[in-house]
Amino acid sequence: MVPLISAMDARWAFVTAAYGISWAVLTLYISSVLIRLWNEGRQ
Amino acid sequence: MTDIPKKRSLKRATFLLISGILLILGAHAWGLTAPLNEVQMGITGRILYVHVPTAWVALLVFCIAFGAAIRVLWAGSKRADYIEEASLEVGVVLTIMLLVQGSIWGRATWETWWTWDPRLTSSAVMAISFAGILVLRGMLHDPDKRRTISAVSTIIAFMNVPVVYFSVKLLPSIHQLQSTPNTVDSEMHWPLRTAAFGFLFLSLGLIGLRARVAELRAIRTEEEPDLPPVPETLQVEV
Repeated sequence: MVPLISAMDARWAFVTAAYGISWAVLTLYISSVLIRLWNEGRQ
Repeated sequence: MTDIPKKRSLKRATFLLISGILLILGAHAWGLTAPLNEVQMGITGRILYVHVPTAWVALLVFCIAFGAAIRVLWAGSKRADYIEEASLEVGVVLTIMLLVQGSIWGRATWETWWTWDPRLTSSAVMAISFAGILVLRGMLHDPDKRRTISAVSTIIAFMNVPVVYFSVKLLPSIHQLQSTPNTVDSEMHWPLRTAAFGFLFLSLGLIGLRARVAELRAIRTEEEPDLPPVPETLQVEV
């Protein structure tokens, strides 16, 4: 079985936090660059 | 530069960005669902697939900023200044991510969120110094002065980048040595390499798009400079 689903190890919380925060930061930053590009392109 | 090459470079940057996101998603899915755990760290060893590529690419992005800063001083290139600004911003975002991931991994393996280890401390100094240059750029309104001061500051701040890289080899550190194909099990190579290329493509794409933002902003401010309001004494009644 896939370890993500099968394991109830509490250490998965650290792994999830590291990946989750990284993806959240990346998503926010990519969005901010695209929004700024859109706004500057319109002016 | 005419409009056609600009559109091409924007398309190239967008292609790199999307390729990078897809590669990272694939590599992370691969790394997180792989059946084997790292021998010493177990499950928490899987943070490797996000932490190590972030570190590699952050250092590489600061190398791009350094190269652009040299070009600014050497040739006075405006394009290099936009690339420098973009690389600094992308590098700072990656370094902040790196510090957060490292802190979480440190808590899981060393049982501490932070320690004044040479690798950790030099990485924090790297983030703060390059973020400081971005703040400095925002405070300088004269484009020529901003270009020169920013380039000189980037070159000075870059002196810390080799310290970050070699700190685990040359200084007493609890941080592990750099992960290379020789120090990582062959089962981990491909997800790690895929994630590294993903972060590289993503960062190059972001630099391309962010540099265009800097260029458009510079054109706009040249066309509409922030002039002070006209004093009342100079106004003429018609």
